[in-house]
Amino acid sequence: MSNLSRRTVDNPHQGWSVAAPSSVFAPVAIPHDSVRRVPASVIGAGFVLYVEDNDDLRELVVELVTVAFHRRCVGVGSYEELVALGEEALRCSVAILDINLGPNRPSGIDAYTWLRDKGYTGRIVFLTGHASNHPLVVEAKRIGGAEIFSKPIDPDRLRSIVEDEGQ
Amino acid sequence: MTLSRDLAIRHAWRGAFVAAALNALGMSVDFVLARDIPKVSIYPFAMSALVGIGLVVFLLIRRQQATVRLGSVVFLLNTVAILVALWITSGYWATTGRTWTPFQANKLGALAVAMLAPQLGVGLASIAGFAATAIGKFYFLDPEIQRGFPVGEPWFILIYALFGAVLLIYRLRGMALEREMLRVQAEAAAAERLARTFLRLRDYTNTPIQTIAFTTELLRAKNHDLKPILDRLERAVNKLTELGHALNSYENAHKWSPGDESLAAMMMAEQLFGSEPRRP
Repeated sequence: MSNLSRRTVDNPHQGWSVAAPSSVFAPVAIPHDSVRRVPASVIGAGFVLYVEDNDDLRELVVELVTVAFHRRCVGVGSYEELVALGEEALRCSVAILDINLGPNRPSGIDAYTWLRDKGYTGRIVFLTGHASNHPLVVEAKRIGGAEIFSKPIDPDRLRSIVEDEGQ
Repeated sequence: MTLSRDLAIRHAWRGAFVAAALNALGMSVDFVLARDIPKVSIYPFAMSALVGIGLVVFLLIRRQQATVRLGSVVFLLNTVAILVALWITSGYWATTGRTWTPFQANKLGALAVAMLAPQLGVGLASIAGFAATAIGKFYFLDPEIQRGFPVGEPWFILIYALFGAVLLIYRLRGMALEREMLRVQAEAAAAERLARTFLRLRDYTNTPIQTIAFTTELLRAKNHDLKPILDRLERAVNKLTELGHALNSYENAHKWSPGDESLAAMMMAEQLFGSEPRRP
């Protein structure tokens, strides 16, 4: 993970933590060092958007999706970073949103609302480490239009989510 | 929160305190009313009133160390002082030669005990004491005086005693029910706290477990030689996941309140680490 740098909100088009195969058209046997930062303009159909405020987990998922599942993935750490990413985020095929993005911070539900308001039509999946009756989880269930999975999910489940992209 | 035992102690202390205060006040008023009776002595009135005052002071001093037993003992001592005084003073009233309603204080006492006694045994004993001293005193009076008593006396005291006993039982059962409700509420609150703690612990560990699970998968994809090691790690993760699932049953026991969700992470961090919040 050493070559996966943190993003900076000030310069989002230079700083997004985006992992991509060395060749996006041949996603096979990707070595670790092929995970790299790429300009946000590369983001497009087939990408997985992952919104998670835990740095370790976010960067790990980006790398796992890329290396093990052969999909391209962009990770953002907050609602603000998602908004800063703007139209690029809308081109992703599947969005995986952590529900709780930190105390007193906009939540994954805000991210969901922003995506839908912007016309995002891809698949949206919520991930949560909270109880099913936690108010944020209840709110996520109430708005509908997205699946909710509780952490920890099996890696195969993550694989099925990213491989079913666009459904 | 008031615990059921706290409530029992409060009731006992308060009942004994009020009984002692009523003793001091009632005996003082009784003496004022009886002062014109020939040969009346202040001593029985004063003895009972002073015992009442002394017990009031004693209860105030011991307020922080109060127990049900303390309340019961004080209540009994107060009752004994009253009974001794009434045994003597009822003789004064009976010998006035004027119209007198016998044993009013005993009858009032039997009903007051029902309202104030800390425990059933103490209450029944006190009621029996008020009844027994009235009836006993009657038979110690001169037969000529006995014949001047209203019809049915001194046996009316038994009706008061019966009513007093019933009221006492009714009141104590009500208090027991109240204490039981408090106990159940306290248990429910404790269970809620436990559930909240379990859920926060589980929530807190979900993301680290997820990180381990994904790291295992990533290492598996990168290095096939590590399979035996990663299999063990995966089994360990599965065990931790099962533990998390086992705690799901606590979800129904915990009702989130407004504001809980934003405080949860901070409180969790404070409880676990005494430090700033860490994200689940």
